[in-house]
Amino acid sequence: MLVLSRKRNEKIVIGDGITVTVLEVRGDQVQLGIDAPREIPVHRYEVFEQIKRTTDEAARSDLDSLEELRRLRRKKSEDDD
Amino acid sequence: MRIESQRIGTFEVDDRSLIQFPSGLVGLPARSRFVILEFDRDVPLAWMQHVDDPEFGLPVADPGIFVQDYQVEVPRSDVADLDLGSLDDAVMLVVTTIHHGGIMVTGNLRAPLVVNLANRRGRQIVLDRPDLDVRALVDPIAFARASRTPGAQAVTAEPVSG
Repeated sequence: MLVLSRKRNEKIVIGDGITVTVLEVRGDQVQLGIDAPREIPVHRYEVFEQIKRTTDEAARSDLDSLEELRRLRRKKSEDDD
Repeated sequence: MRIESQRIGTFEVDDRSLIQFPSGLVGLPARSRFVILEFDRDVPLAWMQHVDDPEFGLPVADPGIFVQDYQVEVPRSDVADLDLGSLDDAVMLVVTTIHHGGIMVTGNLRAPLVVNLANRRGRQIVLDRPDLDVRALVDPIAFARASRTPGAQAVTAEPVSG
């Protein structure tokens, strides 16, 4: 991993057109400003990981349960009548 | 185009029914070409099938089976990326999990799929809304009453043969 030291208001550039600016450092929290082309999504890592994990989970959905879901739906609509 | 999947069977779909996610899905940049198929009329869920990997697909659903009033703001950069002229052209779908060993269905309300019907471009957007659950439980009453998947229906590929 490349490690760089930066002070407040200093920047780093990644590739063509991604700039990360250190805006503020307060205690153990760092505020960053990110300028990136709109086609490059920028997410907090935890959110990104959580969404990816949820999509993987969805892809492993239990399609055998579909029959059970149909049954529940039918039962529910009968109960409503 | 023929899709032979162990999970959902063999389908022939028209190339014109493809939906392109130019940036892929969040964290899965290679998952970019999909078709949306209806399971059947008895379940208000649809199946979004990756055409380049027959074994990868996701259940998708209308947000209405999870929450009554799903009001979200699509970030302007996403609107631009989708080349979305009007929000009327957009369909919003929720990536849904049918959990194993039970009858639990959850949906990711934090990162919905937005599809522009005019150009069939799609994008999974990440909302800056920590209040929205990535595993929101289905509302059983809404699920029981929902008619098919209205959003998905607009972009569904008609399977030529099952």
